[in-house]
Amino acid sequence: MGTTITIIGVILMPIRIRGPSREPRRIRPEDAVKAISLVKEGIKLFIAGPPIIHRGPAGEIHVDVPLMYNGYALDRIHYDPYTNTFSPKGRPVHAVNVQVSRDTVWELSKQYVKELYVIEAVEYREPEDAWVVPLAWRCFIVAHIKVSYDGEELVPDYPLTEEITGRLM
Amino acid sequence: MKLWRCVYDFIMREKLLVTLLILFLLFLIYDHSLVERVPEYVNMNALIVIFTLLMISRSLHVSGLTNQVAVRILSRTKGLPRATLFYIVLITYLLAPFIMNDGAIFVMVPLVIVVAELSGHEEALLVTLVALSANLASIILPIGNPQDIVIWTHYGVSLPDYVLASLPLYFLSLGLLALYVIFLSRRLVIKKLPLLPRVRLDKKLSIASIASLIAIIITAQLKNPLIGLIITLALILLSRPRILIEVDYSLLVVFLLMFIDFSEIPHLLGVQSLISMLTPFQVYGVSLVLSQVISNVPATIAIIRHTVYWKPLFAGVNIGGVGFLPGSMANIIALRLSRMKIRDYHRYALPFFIVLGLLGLALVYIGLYG
Repeated sequence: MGTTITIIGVILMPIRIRGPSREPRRIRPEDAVKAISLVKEGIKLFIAGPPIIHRGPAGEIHVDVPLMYNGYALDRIHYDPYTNTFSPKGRPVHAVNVQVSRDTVWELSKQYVKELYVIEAVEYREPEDAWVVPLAWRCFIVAHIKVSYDGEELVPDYPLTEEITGRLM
Repeated sequence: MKLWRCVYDFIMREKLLVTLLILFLLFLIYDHSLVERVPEYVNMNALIVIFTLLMISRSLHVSGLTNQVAVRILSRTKGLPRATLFYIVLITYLLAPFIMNDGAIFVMVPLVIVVAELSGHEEALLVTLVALSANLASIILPIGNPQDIVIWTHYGVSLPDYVLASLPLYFLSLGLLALYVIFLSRRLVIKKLPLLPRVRLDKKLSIASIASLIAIIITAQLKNPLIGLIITLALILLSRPRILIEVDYSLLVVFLLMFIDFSEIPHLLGVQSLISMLTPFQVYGVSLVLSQVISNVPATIAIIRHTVYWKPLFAGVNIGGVGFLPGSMANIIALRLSRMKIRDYHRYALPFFIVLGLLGLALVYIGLYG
């Protein structure tokens, strides 16, 4: 009897569809302005973290430079080993037949990070409940900095932070 | 060719582990009976507590809780230069007992680098102050650093007895650091510090980390830290499983090899009976000097099995953690994070170490650590 009830229950139970976990937040333009101001304040404190060099099975090399604040990684910036410059977001470079020196990448990245500037417009990402402020280097958008919905706190890239902390240990 | 490259990369990355492994193999070749002594040498409870605390320290940092605490307290200084120095010491004193000395270094060194950049403080001074504070603050709780975990679990000291014994050295070092800050800040010309942005707090992970911390303290006191480890694994698995992948497992092997190698050295040299005859005064002196040469965790392991005087050993290895760079692993991590010069570290750390070492001697003499 108990088993029959369970089977009927399972059949009748509607299939759950994943939706928003909470009510959509009412966003305010003044919070977006605060988010931009926060990143403008913080940008002078951002530094280049230790470069992450991935080697693929065919020998190709892919280099990312973490953008760090106060021990937390905020985003990864793609690095182009051919030109020794930052690569725009969305274009990771898989380089072949090129030598990459970790120290050189780090030193150059430190200089480039000082040249970053804030683009004064934001997007909002509902799943992360955060504003996203783009950072540019020369004419490329190279990083996205996430700021909490109220524009008060920076939102780190936690998996990347864990990876960097592990490497430094 | 690729294999050699991998081996070379591994050796370069894990120099300490490889050195300890080579030492172990040499000892094994010299005396095959070492294999039989390994179970006796390895303090499994200490290893489990150290491993669990490494995970908790990592998850507390990643959760943003330690950053929130540090930045909120620092903002209370209203940017005043001398207050900033005091608060840096105080924040480190507050955090280190709960997240271990190495964990406090991970939180505070990036923060003081930012503070140095903004205020014009000398980076080496701030980083050294953090290293000194992290080493000395972590002694108040037995979970604050690896050598105290080893002492706590080996002698089976109760938590209240341990805390009571550590209080004189804790307050003495705090007072001395306060005087040092006043002395050093006399000639500093520094700018007012602006407000620092905070990072978002991961509440679920913070709660899981605090619960894990309480669990490991209770279970270690009940001499069953394995349960604490299982609770921590479950809580982290539920809140952020990735932390388990990123834990530095090689550090666990490093501690395991340290237990074997540094327990074997007195055996090979035949100095066990010599160590067992040392007076409290001598235990303090030997542990202090040995810590400066081979670091305080190996010094603790080399001495602990042959002496009954845990208090002078405790004072010696903890004061021995400051001073020269190899005194503690936390100093080396601070140096790696900040890229400060070794000379600059010694310029600030050595005078402090000499004064604290002498005061420690006085504490042993009057019987507080006798």
